[in-house]
Amino acid sequence: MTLAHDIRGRLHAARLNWTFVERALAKSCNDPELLEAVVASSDELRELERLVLALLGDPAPSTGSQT
Amino acid sequence: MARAPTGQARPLLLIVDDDRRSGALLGQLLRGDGYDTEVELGGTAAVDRLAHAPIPDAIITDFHLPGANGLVVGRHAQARRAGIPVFLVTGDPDSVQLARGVLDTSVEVLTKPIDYAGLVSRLHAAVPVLA
Repeated sequence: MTLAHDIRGRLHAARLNWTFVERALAKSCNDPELLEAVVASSDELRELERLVLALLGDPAPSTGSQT
Repeated sequence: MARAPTGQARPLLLIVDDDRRSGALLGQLLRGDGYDTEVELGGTAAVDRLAHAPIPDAIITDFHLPGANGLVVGRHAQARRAGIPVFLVTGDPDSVQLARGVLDTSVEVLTKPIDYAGLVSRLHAAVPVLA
């Protein structure tokens, strides 16, 4: 296991948690400012993720590739 | 690699992840997208699970696992049910190259962090959810 592996693992967990938060709030939250903050935070997380992955030499989160 | 579900009302996905929270969260998200899910925390447990019915409609497995790794889980699943869609998730790009040489062509390799919407799109193509 490498540091890069651990970083990807933590980004993966953070993204899953954040997806869960976004979906839960989209269903139940009536506060537009809170929703706006969540969307902004999500965008920032994605940008941070992109930068970290670029440092690791991996340009984008995976949507899959067939073997 | 689309295939008909096993006949259950909702297709069954087996998620294998030794990170308990990530596995549970992924399962919860996918239940919201029309799937039934089971989660196993290790490769050996997943292989044991695959010995029993119902055989899942697709597998989403981490690569690095306690016991058997994701390659073993994927190969075992494909031995139990030819053509079963396997999504191999890894934070180790070197393992991706290894997987490409060993696994069936119906295996999709996803590098962490996965894009959830992309995963669901691929799942819907492989294992359609009935309306």
